[in-house]
Amino acid sequence: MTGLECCLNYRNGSFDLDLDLSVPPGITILLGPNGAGKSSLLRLLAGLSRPANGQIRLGERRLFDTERCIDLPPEQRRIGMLFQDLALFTHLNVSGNIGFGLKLRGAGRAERQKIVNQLLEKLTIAPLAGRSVAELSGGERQKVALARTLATGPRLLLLDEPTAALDPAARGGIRRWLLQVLTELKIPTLLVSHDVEEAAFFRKRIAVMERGRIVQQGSFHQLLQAPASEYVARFVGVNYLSGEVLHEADRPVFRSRGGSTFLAPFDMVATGPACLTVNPWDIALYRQLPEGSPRNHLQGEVHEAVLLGDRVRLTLAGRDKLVAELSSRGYQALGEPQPGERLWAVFKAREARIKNIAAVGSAGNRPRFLSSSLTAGKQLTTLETSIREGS
Amino acid sequence: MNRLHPFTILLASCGLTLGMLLLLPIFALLLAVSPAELLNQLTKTEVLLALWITLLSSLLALLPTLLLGLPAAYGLSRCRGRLRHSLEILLELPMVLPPVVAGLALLLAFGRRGLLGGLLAEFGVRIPFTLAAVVIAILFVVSPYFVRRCASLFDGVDRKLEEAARLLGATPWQSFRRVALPVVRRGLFAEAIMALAQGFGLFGAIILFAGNLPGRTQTLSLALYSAFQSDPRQAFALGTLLLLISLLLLSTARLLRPWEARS
Amino acid sequence: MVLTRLLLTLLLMSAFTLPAEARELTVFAASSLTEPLRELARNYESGHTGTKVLLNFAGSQTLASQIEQGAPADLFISANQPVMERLVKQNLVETPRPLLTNQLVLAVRRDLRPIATTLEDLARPGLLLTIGDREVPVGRYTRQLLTGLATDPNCGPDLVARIEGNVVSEESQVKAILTKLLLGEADAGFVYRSDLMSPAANGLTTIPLPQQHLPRISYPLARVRDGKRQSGAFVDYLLSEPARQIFTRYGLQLENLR
Repeated sequence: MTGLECCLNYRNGSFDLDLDLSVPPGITILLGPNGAGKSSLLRLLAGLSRPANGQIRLGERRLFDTERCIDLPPEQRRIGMLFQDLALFTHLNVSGNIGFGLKLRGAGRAERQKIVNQLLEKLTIAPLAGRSVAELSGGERQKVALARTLATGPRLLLLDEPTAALDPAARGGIRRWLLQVLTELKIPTLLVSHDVEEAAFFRKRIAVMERGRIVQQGSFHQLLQAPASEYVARFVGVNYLSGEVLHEADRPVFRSRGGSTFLAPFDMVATGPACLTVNPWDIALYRQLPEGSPRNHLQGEVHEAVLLGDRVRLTLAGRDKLVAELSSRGYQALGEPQPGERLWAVFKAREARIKNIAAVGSAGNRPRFLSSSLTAGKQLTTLETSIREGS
Repeated sequence: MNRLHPFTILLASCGLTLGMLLLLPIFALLLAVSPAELLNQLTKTEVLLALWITLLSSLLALLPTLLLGLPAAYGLSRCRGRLRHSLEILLELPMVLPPVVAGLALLLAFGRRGLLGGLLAEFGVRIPFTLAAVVIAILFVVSPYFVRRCASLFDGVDRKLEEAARLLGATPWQSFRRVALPVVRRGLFAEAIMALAQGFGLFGAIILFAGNLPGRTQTLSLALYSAFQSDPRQAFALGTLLLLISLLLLSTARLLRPWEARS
Repeated sequence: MVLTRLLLTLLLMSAFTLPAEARELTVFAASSLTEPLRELARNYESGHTGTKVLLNFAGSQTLASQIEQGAPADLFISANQPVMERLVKQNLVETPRPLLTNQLVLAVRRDLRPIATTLEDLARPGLLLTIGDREVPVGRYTRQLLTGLATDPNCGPDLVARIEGNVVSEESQVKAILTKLLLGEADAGFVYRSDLMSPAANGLTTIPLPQQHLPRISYPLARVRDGKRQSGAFVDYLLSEPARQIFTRYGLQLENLR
């Protein structure tokens, strides 16, 4: 097993980190809001900061272990890290930068030259060899930085928002190229990102961090299907309402914080704090509430309507806030509602998903990668039945 | 910029006024001495000896200043908070001593009756009134400034660069040598030249600690003092000589700079 | 590598002298004696081959501090009596003997208009007078003189007060007074006769001062206790006739006492 396993506890003033993470070979995306601790985590893994306690294991090697008093300094960890601002050495040219780690090891000039040239070829930046760092474009510097990191053959790669500094046009290209290069290398890679497109692109494995804890791990699809927190939901663009599941007239309902009542499949859900998620494209908008099948509805004022190509994202604010996504044709059919106008948002019960939220402070610490189908909690169903029978 | 903003005029006037204030006395000194007199001075053995002692002692003092001062400055720049404050205060102590007091302090430490000097005397090693004393005096006065200024230079090195180096396999020493030093190289060079020039002008500490022995410890500034005692006009000539040497040093430094920047 | 070795040898050679170089005599002397002593030392060396006379010129205070800290001096010639007494009190020197005398003179710029020739002229308003400050010997001597003049019926306290009113600066070195006169920053100043021998004093003349009030200016010489015995020969040379002539050329009088 050449993956990374870590279990860390770190305190820094008011901020504390407490998590358990494993990164198998391949790319894992690390998401999270600002201040969640993503950069701190990278620094802890790299050995630039010291956890209060815990352990970090990379394959067979123990990099850090409080119990065994092991704390390898960064230069011995064989970890490659790409900083957000790249930190290229301005006093060396491109070849000098790439060969830096090799020179430290004492590699001879010929050998260094060979490896540097190989990397230059692989990353298609061969003509840049003798150039000064200051002359390069954003994308070229990215490649040089990656080449420099790869030159020493690291066993783990930490990439801190590698495409953040590039303009959107360049991002796609770099992403594809990163995927190709990193997949070839087969080393565990942790890629910090803020970009939902990026998360969607590297969709296989995503870990979400909030306030120093890992709140969800899974594929992008899983995040979409069952976002574990409001942040995740917002990030993937799904509506998220917090509230609680109650029993009303003998059947369970979801009462949102705003006071609305909604129905959804309550199969594996118990009473208590819960969250309801519904995709924006599953919400229909009407000027008048239509008659017909019992569906969830919410009345509100248009908060904003954003036209994105041939789709429109419309935010409706009433007792709760919902984002609906419709085609521009549908938007026109509605009469192009402007901010301030009143509309009804309607969605089917079966298109909503409800999940119990754990009480504040517990769990969320050691989630494992969830499988896509929520396995039926038979105990939960039994509980619900007994509640019903009991009331 | 085509527009002559009132602020630009203000800046220019301040610069000009300050410039005149600083340059006028220097020009006055240069004009007070004729080239013939200057050349005449250069033919005297005492002057040539003093020149030799000045250059030799300043260069010899430069070595420990660099070898000890650079790592010290780097270490200082890596300190934070209260530790850094305390260290900086310690560093400032020698700086606030008037040179004469500095000389006295050096005697009390290294003189034949001094703290360390007494011990050294047992082994037959005598420091005052030797070239070593001149070097130590220069070191004592010049190195605190050097360390403080170089620490500022190192402060300016982006920590990320050194972290990147560490992750690429550099030990702390290698990070210092291959990243921090090259990045501040130009500034360091300027500071070294400054340290050299500061050594040239030193008087109080040297005359007290090293004595005024021609051919052994009499630097140009001491020779100036002695000349002043016999004929003040001679002192003008030596003063001009000292000025011109400093000018030469600073110009050479500027000329060598592009060479430094290349690699 | 060779260069490093060469540098090291050079450093060691010039840095550490082994003690007791028998033929070397170290003389600490007030800087006002720079020129005469240099000449005398050269003469002595040519007369006594193999002997080197090391001269260390500085202010008397500086020299005394150095001796207090164990400086390797053999002889000390001070321009400052109290300083010598301090060393005597600490038993660092043997009994001093007066070596030289000097005289306080009133120097005036030759090109001063209207000409100043008497003490009365010195008191006239608008004349710029420079004296030494309280801490330096020449300043102390000047004040002694003025105090004496105040008691003299020919001068009187009023005249002295007017003279003192003309003081524009107090210098910490006698040569600075000379420099001020040279540069025209002052019209008159109290200096030593030996200072008038300097080529810088070409544009100066003197105003005579009443002999009876002139303070006694003495340069004592003493053997430093830890010093070498050989200094006797040099001291004898300093007291010899040829030495007297050299001293006189520089405006200094050799003391006659034996």
